Amino acid sequence: MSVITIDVIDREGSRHEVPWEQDQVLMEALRDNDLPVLASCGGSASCATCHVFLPEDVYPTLPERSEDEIELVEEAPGFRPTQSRLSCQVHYADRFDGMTVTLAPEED
Amino acid sequence: MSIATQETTGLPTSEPNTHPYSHELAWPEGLEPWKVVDDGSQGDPYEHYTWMHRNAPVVRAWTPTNDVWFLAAYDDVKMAFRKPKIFSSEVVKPVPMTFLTLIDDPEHNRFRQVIAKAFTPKALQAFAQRIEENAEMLLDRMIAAGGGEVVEDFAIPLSMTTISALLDVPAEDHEKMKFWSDETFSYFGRLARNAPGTGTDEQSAHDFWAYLKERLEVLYAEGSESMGGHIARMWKDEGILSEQEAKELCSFVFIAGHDTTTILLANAFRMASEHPELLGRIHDNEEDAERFVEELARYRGTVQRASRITTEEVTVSGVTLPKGAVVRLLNAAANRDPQKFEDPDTFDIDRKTDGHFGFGAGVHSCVGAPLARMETVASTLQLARKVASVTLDTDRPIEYVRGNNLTNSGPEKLYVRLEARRG
Repeated sequence: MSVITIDVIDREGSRHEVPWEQDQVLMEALRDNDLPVLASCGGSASCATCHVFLPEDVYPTLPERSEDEIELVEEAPGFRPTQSRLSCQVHYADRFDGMTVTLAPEED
Repeated sequence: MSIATQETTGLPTSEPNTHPYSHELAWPEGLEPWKVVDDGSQGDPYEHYTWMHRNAPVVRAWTPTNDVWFLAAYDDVKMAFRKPKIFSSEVVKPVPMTFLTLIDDPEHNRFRQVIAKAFTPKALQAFAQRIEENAEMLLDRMIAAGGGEVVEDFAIPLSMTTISALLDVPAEDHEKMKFWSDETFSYFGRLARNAPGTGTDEQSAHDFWAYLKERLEVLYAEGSESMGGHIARMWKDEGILSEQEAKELCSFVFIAGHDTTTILLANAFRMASEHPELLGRIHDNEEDAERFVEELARYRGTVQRASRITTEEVTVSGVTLPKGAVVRLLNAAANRDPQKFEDPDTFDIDRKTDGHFGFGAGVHSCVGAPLARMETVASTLQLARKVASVTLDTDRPIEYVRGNNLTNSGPEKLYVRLEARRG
């Protein structure tokens, strides 16, 4: 199974190298590597607790967001129209190797 | 919507041009009007749900203190689960105890962070073998006896042993733990949902918390790696939890961790009895056990409803709920909504179950869902491997939970005969 490495910036600004396995969605890679991603709904796109920012050049290359994801992510704290995704909806691709992912802020 | 014309029941009449009360609706013969507190007519509530989908997706029930609005339609329940700022979980203020179901973000998030890590599929792998072994041992015992009462003989011991191991709270005395747990759940139901209570629930809850506090002290001293040890450190080292929060959170995990799963496990036996062909199918294709459990959670999930209070006026299925409306999201009814699931009252493990609310949805989704799934899949696999048929004991019909928590429905007693698989 393929594994890539991504760079993750947590909410305190610290960087982490995180392995991302082919059979994981991005949320699982983050959660299973002990990043503070709550992913309360378990990955069903019914909450926004796995909200992340992706690089602006990667964002447009992803498959379109579902209605469910759009509704949630647009109301999530810190929403960025050209970067915000729910990480439970982002599937693995080899080309993401080396990508920087930033954890979005939680609610105040 | 039709208004019942039968003689008055002593209950009030709705004001003109307002949504009718449940007791004013023309419920069909044999179906009691939907009530906030079950009088025994809602033990197996699915006929009510079917009728609601056809006639009244929003049901307003009268109580002496306030109206309670029940939402049955999938789209309404989904919307409410996804809008926690409008459908607040803080139905009692100030929040009376550290139960995650009673708390909104950001506090909910803070507490959930403490326990969520222990419930990820990865973390739970450490418990998989123990769960399988326990399920096998309990089932072997039942098979040797030719059957038995599933809840007492199988479901409670399995779910209680599992959650006890996770928390590292000894469960040698199942009866005492079950008593404390049920009583504390009743206390919670009384505070959160005006359930009738037991008369002793408050005292029992305090006894349970005193016991858990003592246990957390021990786990802290031992440096336990269990969730209980983790909660103790969050209390004593990190100051993230107060003593009261620590012991109440511990009790929440314990109660939520065994009561719901107990009923789900019992329902797995029930569905195996209603669909005798499935045990053979899963025996030959073990990966189908997961399909079975997912459809089980849709078709006969344990938690029937979630309590919310509206923070602003909101419209559901054309009905306007006022700000401050006390609402119950009938997630189990939504799971039978024909708008979402074709032929919803048929148990079909081949259907697409995506989006079911057997474990809720949104930020308050069941944190223990991966554990409940693991226990139920393990039990289903044991059944399929070892049992040729499950037959309900016709002399002793199912007795349904009529608990004080007003949340869960399912068998409290389920008597079965088991025929061992040969060869």
